[in-house]
Amino acid sequence: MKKRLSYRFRLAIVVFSAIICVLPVLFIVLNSLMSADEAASRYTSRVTPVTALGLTDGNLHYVEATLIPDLLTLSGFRDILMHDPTNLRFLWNSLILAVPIVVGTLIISPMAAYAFERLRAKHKEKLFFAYIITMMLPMQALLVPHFIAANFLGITDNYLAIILPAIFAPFGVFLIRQQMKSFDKATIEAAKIDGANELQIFTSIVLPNLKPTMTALMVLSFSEVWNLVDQAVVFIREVRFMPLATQLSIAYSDGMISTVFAISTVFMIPALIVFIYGQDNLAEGVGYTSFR
Amino acid sequence: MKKVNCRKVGITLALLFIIGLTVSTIYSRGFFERQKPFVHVTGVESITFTWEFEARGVAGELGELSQRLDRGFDFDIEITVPEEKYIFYMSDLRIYPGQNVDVTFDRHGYAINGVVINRSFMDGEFTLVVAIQDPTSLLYPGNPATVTLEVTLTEEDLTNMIPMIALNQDPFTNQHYIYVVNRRDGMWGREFYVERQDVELSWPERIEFFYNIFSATGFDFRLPIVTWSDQELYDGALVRLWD
Repeated sequence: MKKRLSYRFRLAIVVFSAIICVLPVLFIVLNSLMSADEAASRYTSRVTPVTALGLTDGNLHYVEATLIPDLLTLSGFRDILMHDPTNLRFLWNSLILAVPIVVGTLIISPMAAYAFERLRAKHKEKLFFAYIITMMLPMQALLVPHFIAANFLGITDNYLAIILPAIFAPFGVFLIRQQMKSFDKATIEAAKIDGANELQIFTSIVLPNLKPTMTALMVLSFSEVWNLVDQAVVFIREVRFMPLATQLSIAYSDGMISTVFAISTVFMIPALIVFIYGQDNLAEGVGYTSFR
Repeated sequence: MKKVNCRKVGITLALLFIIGLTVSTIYSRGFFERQKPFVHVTGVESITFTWEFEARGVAGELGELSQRLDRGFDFDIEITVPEEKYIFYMSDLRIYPGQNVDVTFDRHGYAINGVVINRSFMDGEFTLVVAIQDPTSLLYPGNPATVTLEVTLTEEDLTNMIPMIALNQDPFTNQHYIYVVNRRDGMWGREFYVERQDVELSWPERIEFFYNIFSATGFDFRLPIVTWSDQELYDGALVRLWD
């Protein structure tokens, strides 16, 4: 009995937490089906025929949030996908930023992690510690040194100023190196005895066993770079090269509420697709599993 | 229940998303482009214009000539200048006493030299008094002949002439303005947009079908000027040029 109550209590907490987490997403998706007039009357101070009567009665105009709109319509999606290509340009910018960063991270991080794990150097651990300590720093603290470096290289106002620091970020190296610690050293030594060089060991033995971790790294780094705002604001000057994450707040301040909901829904789709692709390996990838 | 291969689902969804995004981008760009107004544009024109002022009057009685005039003038002719002419020609003191004019009598058909001796504006009428000689001796005081007065005023090099249809006027402030087309790098490459430029009419304000304009803000008139649009324009509107 006690066990059942305890289980139900834990289940209730989990379900409640899940609802709390899903609620904002549900709110955005359902409100994206709202008409422009209804969105304006509910979420802005703009006077519309719906709100005018209430205002003349001396009532204040509050935000009237709702989960389900009065009238379901796809006009918001029609506007952003078929009428106005501006937000699509920002979406393409986000993809142009995210894909090289993720691909670069997946190339660089395993190699760097392998080097940190396998190479015998005197101060290797101190170097690794100095490398990953930057993970503890807030990203905003690193913006100034990144800007100085980008200025020196002449790549400010360029996507490279964002892509290069992200590719060489320490998180992926840390994650993969932790996974490599669980590798059976004997198998690698046996391969070495058989005459395999480091590259062959890396590509034939280490990499295949890193698939879950690489998938997890892909999902995590994509979700991080997809929501990129600060670096874009600092390094990119022209609005037409900005990623979508930076423009959502501007669209909101412009009063285009229904568009904001619709484009936010579309904005979530790539992250969702990446998660669907990697969900089988996500838990396994960040955990410690045995070497196969 | 068969386990779903998440990788395959993810790859399929990703491909569908990219294809959908591409199609949507192409379609929305075309749609957005079609919504832009079409405009015809022209540049400012330069005109060299010789001013010839004509007015018709009636030869009046030979009155007492001013003592300031030289001898030899036989008649003075009072000419009432039509309002539309005097607005353009009389302002800025372009007709002034002492100015030489040619007077052509219908009866004779040839020009007789004369001098403006007086100009006045009264009761909404602009009047010139011109003193003339009469070498033919065929004229007499009170002769009701009509005359054509021709005055060559000046030659103007007018460099900021725009077609009349390019000039607009704000109904609230009465400010004249034009739309000029400018170019910039937009979201999807080069795009054209219109800018409203306030202008003033410069003397002479109108010549045939052109207005003479200048900009108080020092605007450079080298940009194309909108002469026609198929939709209402506003400052900053994106447009398409009519090829």
